[in-house]
Amino acid sequence: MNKLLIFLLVFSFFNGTGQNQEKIIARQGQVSFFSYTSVENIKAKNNQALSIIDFSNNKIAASMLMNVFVFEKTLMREHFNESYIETDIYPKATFEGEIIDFDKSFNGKQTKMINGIFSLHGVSKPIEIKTEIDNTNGNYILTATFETFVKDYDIKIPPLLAGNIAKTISVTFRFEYEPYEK
Amino acid sequence: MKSNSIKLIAITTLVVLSAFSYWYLSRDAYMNIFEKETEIYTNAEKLISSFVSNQDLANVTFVEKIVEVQGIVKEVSYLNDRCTIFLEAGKHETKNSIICDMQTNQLHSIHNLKSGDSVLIKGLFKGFLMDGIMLNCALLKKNINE
Repeated sequence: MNKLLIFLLVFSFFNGTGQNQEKIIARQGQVSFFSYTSVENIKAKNNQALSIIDFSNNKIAASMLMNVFVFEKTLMREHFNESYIETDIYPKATFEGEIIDFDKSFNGKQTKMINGIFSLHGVSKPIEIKTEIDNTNGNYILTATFETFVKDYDIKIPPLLAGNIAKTISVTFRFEYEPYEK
Repeated sequence: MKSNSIKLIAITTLVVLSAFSYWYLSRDAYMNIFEKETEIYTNAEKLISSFVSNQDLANVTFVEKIVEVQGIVKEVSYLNDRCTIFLEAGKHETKNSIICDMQTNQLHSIHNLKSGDSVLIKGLFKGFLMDGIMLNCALLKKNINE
């Protein structure tokens, strides 16, 4: 029952229920993360993150498959998927939030805060992201970099590898939107 | 004497296996799809409808499998310095598609690909959000119905 309710809520968000709703979608959002330590640097990139913005209420949602991250080394990818993120149990990371004081008619660059809930590895946390919004004649691009703590998401790093993974991970995203055709 | 020989063989085997495991796991993450055997043959419409009708079952069937998928090109995108082919879900279906992230060595074979072309693409199927996502893709055939 709960699963059905969640599905309907997500479905209604992505499909819209009211009239005059104007939405934009990014199907090829790029999300990267970086872990810098003295032992090694780890970076990975996901080029297929999904995001939708609903202009009627300035809500924004994003979702990405965690097994889509591309790493430089096989070992890094296997540790990430099997030991840290456990992608078979938690395949997606999601974000749902709101762009604060957003004026969609403003042409050019504006910096806004996005507040919302980020869910990863079965843990949901409120986050605030300072985001640059570039509107060039109705073509919107959102970019931001923010820091997040590994411990916040119940990700367990074995003591042997603790020196290889930074405690704070730098996350960068870039979403280029187009009109959402239902 | 015999016991020492057995120990030596066991240690040598262990060292060789460890070295091989380290090499295997530390190697470059690049995967050449042409070297992988296809596990599933399907088309874009069936693949998407599998996820729309029963995502849990479709995840078990398709995720992390090498798939050859036939479909109609909806769009070719070069966003994020990637080459991506979108395959249609069906003639009148615009919401979902299959996103094929092409291998970097595929650029020459798809430069004249256009919307409406029928293609056969091989890749690693990773999962489904609003679209199916395939990585390490290669174009096997184009205009296959002509």
